[in-house]
Amino acid sequence: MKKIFFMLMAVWGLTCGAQGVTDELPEVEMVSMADPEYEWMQYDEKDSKAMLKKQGLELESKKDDSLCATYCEMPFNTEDNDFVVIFDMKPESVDDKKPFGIIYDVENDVTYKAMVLTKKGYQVLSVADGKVSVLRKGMYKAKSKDFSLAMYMKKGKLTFFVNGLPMCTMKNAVIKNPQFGFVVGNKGKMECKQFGYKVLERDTTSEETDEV
Amino acid sequence: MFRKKLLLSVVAMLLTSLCCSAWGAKKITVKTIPETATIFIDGQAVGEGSYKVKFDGGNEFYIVTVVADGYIGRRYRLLKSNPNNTVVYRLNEDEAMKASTGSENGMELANQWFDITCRRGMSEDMVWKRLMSIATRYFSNIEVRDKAAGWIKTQWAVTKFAHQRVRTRLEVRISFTGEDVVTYRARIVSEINDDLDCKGSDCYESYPRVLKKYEPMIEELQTSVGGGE
Repeated sequence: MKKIFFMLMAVWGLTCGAQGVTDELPEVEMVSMADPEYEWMQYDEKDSKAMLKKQGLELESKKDDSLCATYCEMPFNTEDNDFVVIFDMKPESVDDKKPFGIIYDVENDVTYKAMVLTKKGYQVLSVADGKVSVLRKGMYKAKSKDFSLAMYMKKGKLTFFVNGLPMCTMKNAVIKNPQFGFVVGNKGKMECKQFGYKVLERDTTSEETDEV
Repeated sequence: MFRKKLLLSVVAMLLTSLCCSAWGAKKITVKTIPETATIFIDGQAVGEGSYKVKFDGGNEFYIVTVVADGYIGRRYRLLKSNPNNTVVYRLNEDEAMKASTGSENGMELANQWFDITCRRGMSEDMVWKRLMSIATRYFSNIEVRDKAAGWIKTQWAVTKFAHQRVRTRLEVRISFTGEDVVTYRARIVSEINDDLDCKGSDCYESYPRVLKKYEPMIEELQTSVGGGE
């Protein structure tokens, strides 16, 4: 399976009183990683590993300066729908050097987006043909090693949640590829526990056709 | 004397530092306008109007949500690094709500079909003319006017507020035609966009309220065309 490489930026900034974060996270039914309906990438290679175990899917980066990921295709159109996706994970450690998080809008191993966390904070990244851009960065809150990362797309606004709290919102966001998953890097290890998604109906009567 | 003064100064300094360390956690007072707004800190309701936020336990920030009836709720990130001791969050008025009517007035007509039983003896032609007259009086453009199908649909009429947009349209369709009874169904479609950074039709969502300026239209439909019911 393919490996994903990129360099993390070392400097973390602080947000400056960000305004107007979006709504509460809708409830989502969570699904086991072992559910056969979803084909998560599994592999065991020299530099990385993603294997299904009893407690979930174990993801491991065996090499410095590298990221490894596991993802699968969600069964909905990300461009035409509002939706929520949630990923529950437990990294082996939370420190400055071993990022972990979620990967989304995956086109291939050099073009994708991700939200990664380290001890200092989070970064939302866009990788295009291997070139990394930081879209957002800031602080998050966590009380334990269990993390729940969520993405809530509503009316073109994409909000990232960490442990139920909204962290940042990006407007006019477009997600073309419905491939989502987990990511860990720099010799980090993580347990991918479960995931869930919900497609939300757009609450408008514009397209309704009533039977009269 | 000098030693006594020095000793007193040292004791005073020690006491001061002890006090500071005991209450050393940074505190910021959050105040709201209006004062009746409810304050939530990290999703937990903590009070109304004013609350002293304490940054302890390594917390570098809190998510502050402020909501009040008749105002547009907002969510903020309050950072420990904020240099102010007091932060005031001002909510914008929900102008769309004030300019509209809904279930609190017993008006639940938004986005609901209601019947117009036309007056007996009124010809279909006359009914159609009156419906068209009412529609064009309140809406600039008609998107669908199909007399044969008995269908009128106006274009969206957008009403702008400082922080919101409400769009409204009227739709009328023939429901039943008997020997001398004609019934139409009508609905006022109401949608709201409360995020003006979002452009396009997808930014609107169903709004369960009708702008007050369309209330006379409902009455006209019932009396001018209908049997007054």
